[in-house]
Amino acid sequence: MTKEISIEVKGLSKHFPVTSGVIFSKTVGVVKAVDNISFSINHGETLGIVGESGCGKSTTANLVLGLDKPTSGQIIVQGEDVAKLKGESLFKFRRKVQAVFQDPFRSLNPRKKIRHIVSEPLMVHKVGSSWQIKQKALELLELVGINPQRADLYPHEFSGGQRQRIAIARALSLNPSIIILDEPVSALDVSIQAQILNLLMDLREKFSLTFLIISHDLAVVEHVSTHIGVMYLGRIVELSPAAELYKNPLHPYTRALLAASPVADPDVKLKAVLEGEVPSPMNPPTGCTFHPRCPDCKPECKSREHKMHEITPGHFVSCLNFSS
Amino acid sequence: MDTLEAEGSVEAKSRARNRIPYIGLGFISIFLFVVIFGQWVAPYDYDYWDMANITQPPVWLEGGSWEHILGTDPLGRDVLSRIIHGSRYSLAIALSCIAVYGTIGIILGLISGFLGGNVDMGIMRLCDLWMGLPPIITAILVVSVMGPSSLAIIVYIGLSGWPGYTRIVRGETMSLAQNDFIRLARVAGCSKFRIITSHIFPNIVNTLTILITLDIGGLIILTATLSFLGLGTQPPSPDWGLMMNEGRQYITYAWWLIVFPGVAIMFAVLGFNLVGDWLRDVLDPKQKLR
Ligand SMILES: Nc1ncnc2c1ncn2[C@@H]1O[C@H](COP(=O)(O)OP(=O)(O)OP(=O)(O)O)[C@@H](O)[C@H]1O
Ligand SMILES: [Mg+2]
Repeated sequence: MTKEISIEVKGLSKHFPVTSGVIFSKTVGVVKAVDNISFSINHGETLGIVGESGCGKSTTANLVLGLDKPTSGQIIVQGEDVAKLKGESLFKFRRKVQAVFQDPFRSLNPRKKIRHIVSEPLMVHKVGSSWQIKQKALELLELVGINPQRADLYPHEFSGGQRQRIAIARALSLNPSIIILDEPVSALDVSIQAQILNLLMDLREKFSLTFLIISHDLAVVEHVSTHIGVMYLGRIVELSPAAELYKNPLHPYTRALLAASPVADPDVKLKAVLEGEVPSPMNPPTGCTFHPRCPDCKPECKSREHKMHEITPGHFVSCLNFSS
Repeated sequence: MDTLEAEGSVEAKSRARNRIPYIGLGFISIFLFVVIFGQWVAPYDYDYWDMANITQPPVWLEGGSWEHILGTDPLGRDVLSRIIHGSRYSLAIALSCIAVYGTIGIILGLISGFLGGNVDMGIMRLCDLWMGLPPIITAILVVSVMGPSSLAIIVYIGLSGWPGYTRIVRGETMSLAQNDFIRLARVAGCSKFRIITSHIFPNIVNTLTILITLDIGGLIILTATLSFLGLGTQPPSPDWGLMMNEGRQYITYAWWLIVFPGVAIMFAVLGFNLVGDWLRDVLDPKQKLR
């Protein structure tokens, strides 16, 4: 495997202003949805990002996709700074990076036949003649396991799992090298989840794709990822090769997630493992933002912010217990 | 939760489907039939003066005859024929008004809802301003500039009716824009124009169908009212409002001159409202509108 970097994120932050007042609205604070995160994904690898609801996972996905502008920091995708792209260069970037989103009921236009849904990116980018595009759409549907004879049906005539397959077919249509998967299976039944994840892995192999997969469920990410980043309140608290993370989880939050993981709804179990609620991202705790819920909290944790430390090669953690 | 909601709406939908408004559809069918074939089914021309039979009562009253089923006016014009011919005026004026303000309203609503920010704010303030204009005074103003005519009515209503559409279309657009398929359209590289025309607009067509159907009834009344007040269609047109206006002075001894056009208006409006309500149940079971 070549060690070519596909996505590199450096010090990325996204702060949303919080306004109050209807007529004379003024900014009363900021939500640090994403706060100074860094990671990189090599070509052909898959980085899984896990974290509870509201920790900034989707915001990260939007930034990498160039749907939103970062407050600070950089996203370099195959040598290009995503935030600086516009017009023609942004249009070209779209061919390289595609996405699949969480809710298969909202990610397909209900008024379009699935043939059109799958072929729209090809039409927009004028890839081939209309006959070729039509053929390509049928091939793509076949590839993801949808009978091409059903190409003239509308999305509501398919099940959730099938719709997600259609969404994947669309994402593949432009032959992208990177696919951002934001909670690709969390709206699906557990039995269907595995099928979709297997499909994704097959496709990754076949087209040598790079994935950034986002989930609140560690079990989902575990299947697919080569590397895992654990996010908490807008920050990455631990980043490691997948096998290493499972063997040797360091951050107390990661351990809690792992302890909660092999159940149907991890959010439920997590409450049992961890005390308290996720603090508001508008008013995060001082020092280590995890300290109010941390079982190993020390007095310094309340005041001192810490940086990521590399404990073993490739395994980073941001926790006072592991900084020298 | 989501599935529950979906099931509920499916149920509401099928219930609504089974309650087809035959009466409303019947009124609309008659209305449209008369609009299209009126020229051939009307016994007389709308401006034919039968001087031998002036102010003749309807057929079932003493002095009435089968020649003029709904009677005649003081010029000997056949009331039934005038009502039949008048249907075309009502519908044409109503549709012209909708075409003008619908186009303005929909385009501004799509732009406002999709672009957001300052553009949205500007358009919304313009809406507020526009809705603050006093209706009767502006109507009289337009008429005094253009002179009373059907065209003046179309210009007046066309230019004043759009803010309602802009608001509704803007709201729908904003909630649609939250959907992942819009985000994915951007990921695919669709232009703003393409997103608006091919992803948002097709998804508001249902809402627009309901709005337009419900509006036709109101517009028939409004245009008839303006004609009744003498601001709109001018004689000898068989506009229903104008007919009522002309019949007003004879109300004590020739009530049919004012009652029959009134009944025609009532049934046409009722038809469109019944069907509009039903469409709303079928197409929009969550009752987002009104
Ligand atoms: N456009 C926005 N304006 C203001 N705040 C926002 C915006 N988008 C996201 N946020 C806030 O940023 C934080 C992170 O949101 P994000 O959607 O990235 O979370 P997430 O990890 O994807 O959560 P989930 O699992 O619920 O999808 C949340 O507190 C959210 O309220
Ligand atoms: Mg999310």
